[in-house]
Amino acid sequence: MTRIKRYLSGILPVAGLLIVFVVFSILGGSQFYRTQNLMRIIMQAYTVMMVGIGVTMIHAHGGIDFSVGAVLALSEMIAAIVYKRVGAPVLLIIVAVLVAVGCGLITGVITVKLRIPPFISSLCMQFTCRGIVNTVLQANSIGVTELSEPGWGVKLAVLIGFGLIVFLILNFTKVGKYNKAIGENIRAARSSGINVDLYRIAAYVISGVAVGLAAYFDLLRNGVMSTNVGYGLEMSVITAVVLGGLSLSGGYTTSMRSAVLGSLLIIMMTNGLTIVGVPISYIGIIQGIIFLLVILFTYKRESHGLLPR
Amino acid sequence: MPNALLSVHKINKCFGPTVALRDVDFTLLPGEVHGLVGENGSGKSTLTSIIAGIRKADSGEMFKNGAPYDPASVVEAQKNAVAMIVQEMGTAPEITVAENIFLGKENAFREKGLVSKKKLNKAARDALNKIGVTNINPGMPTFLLNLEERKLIELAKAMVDEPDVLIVDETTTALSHDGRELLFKVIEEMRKKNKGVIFISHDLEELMNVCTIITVLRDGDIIGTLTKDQFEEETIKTMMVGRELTGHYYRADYDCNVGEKIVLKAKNMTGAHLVEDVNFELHEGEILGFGGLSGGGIHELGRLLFGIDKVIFGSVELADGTVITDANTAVKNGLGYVSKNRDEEAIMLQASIRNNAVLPSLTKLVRRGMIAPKKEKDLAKEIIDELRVKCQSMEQKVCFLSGGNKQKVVFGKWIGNEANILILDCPTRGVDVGVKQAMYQLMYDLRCRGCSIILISEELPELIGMSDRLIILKNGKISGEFMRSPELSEQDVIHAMI
Repeated sequence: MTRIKRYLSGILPVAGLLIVFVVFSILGGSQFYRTQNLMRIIMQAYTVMMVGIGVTMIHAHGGIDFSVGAVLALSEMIAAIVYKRVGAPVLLIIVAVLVAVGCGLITGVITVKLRIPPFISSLCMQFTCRGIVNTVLQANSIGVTELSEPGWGVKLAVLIGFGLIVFLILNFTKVGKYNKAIGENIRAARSSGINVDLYRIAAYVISGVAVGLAAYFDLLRNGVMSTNVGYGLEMSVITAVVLGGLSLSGGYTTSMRSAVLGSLLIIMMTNGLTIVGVPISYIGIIQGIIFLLVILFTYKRESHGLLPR
Repeated sequence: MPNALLSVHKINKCFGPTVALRDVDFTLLPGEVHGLVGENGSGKSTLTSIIAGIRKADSGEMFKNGAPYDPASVVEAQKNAVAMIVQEMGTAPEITVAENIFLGKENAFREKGLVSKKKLNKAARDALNKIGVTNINPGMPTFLLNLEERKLIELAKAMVDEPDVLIVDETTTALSHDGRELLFKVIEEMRKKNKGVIFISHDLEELMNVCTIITVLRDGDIIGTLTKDQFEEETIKTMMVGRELTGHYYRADYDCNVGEKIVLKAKNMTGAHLVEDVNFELHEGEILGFGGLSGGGIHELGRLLFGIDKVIFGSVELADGTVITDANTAVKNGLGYVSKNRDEEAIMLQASIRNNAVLPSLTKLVRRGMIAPKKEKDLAKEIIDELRVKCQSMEQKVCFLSGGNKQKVVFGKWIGNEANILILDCPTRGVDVGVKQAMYQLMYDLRCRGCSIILISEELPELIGMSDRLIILKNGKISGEFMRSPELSEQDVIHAMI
């Protein structure tokens, strides 16, 4: 059974994506599988996928980040304000990335140096960032409609480029390998001479870059920045990576494809169910059941027994 | 056998392709202290865990007092008066000592629907007193206790139900001299009451002292059973390994020519607890032994030297003046550390041999910021070959290796990183004779290559047998220093320890 599970957890995300695709292609017909709709799915999944790729670095060492949605909002807001004052469009992306990286750095340092569980420290970060956004904007919004959204070619190129970089970092550099080792056993990593603090913080910084890039494209896509930007993003991201087969305890099994597959899977399901004509209120119920089934088959649960071994 | 306390007949057990037990027959008579001995992976723990209801046998039958016995769980085994103290931690850290002792039996302490803490604590105190432990407060959370105290709690827990059969699986390594005495007293009482004990240990001397009969296992087969008059260390070793152990066990030479160069110097080194004002110099190509009673500060000393724990006063300096402040600096400057707590601190159990073995060396494999997988594999292969790690492939998870082979992987980490100062804390703990001998040979080879070794151990014969110089710590301070010599005896050294 364990062998079957190990096998399933490897192929299930891929198989799941294929099955969802085939099922909706049959049910929804060309309305579902035409290029235009598929592009829409990718664009809808864009933010979750980009951020998911980034937080994979944090999950590799067993950390978690609940602040990504609020940080996304803060980055968009500050970038928009700076752009409105100065007027150079290039500032949008620079400021967005800087703010998100700064937030990642702060979360990382607080988590590591003050020895606070990342679950708590990132929640604090979430409240603070969301609070700043609400205080500054009140009920207002900032419009940047004068700027046009970059074409999908550019967006896709940035996503693939960034994904490739994170893939290389995760699998072929010290930063990735050390973070995975920390996820396996932090004490063993430390006694192997790894500067555990530094590399954990690095993961939060890399994740910050992802949030910053996502914020830039999200802002241009919406054309307007208001207080509800990024709400619930952290949960979507965590759901996506888990659905894509990532183990939240971290370690050497950490792979970037979880973020890619998981985010596509979620959006494709929502999109397909809508096209087939399922009322929006039912979609949540169906998704909940499907998630549970996937987890049942893939997640490693403690085997019963009174004593270890 | 009608009068046997427990008998096991044709038990088989496989884990995947590995046969752990093959048609094993085993009998425990009343009044017997039955030793089980064998190399790591020989099947001792598997056999006892089947008897204690932790695992199920694939086939075979068991009888308790003549009646068929097939426990589905530990609780069922306990109901049949079979109790076991496991090799790993068997206590839950977050609950109190008393709650651990009566885990699952809380109903007996009910008062108006709630469990009475008072009654529970009192019963726990009685249980602890019964085995001679008086200094543990039953209301204390268990995580505050050290390894030894937790083991004693397990012993108290096992003895609460007055079992007919007590299984002690490699518990003594976690115990100090006093703790062992307590355990031996409990065992002796069991024997006098005509009950049975199954005792597992790697320490042959201890085994021969405690047991009335010894059964030797090898690769899942029973090799033979020896009665008290047949006990002899050489015989047992030969039976365990299946061949005559040739050559010397420890190093044979008494030539203590170490290098002139001082590679590491501890100056007034003082740690947060135990280690106090320790001064010594380590020479190139020297094996410097550190011994003492557990609680004397030898393990803490190792952690300070490697920078895992902070030196609060004084310093640890290398030849070039570098001061060791943390493990990162230590590794960068060619130090290596083999921890006493291997599974928790030295190894990633769920990771592959490759990932474990190359971890400290990754920095050296980086070219233009990247690490080529081929280089990693080459290095891992080199390490596996050099240390002869028994494995299916370098991608095998370390948790599937035997204790001795896990330890080889830990050694391999540092050999792969070409460390020239090794700090070894109980490197042969829980390792069988065959691998032990290989480890001693390896230490000697490393010494001859100019490597310096700090050998921390609780086993005096090992220290006397391997060290060029031996320093004894007592209450955190140096209490004696001995040079290598054929005349040096345990008696001489013990004086400095107590």
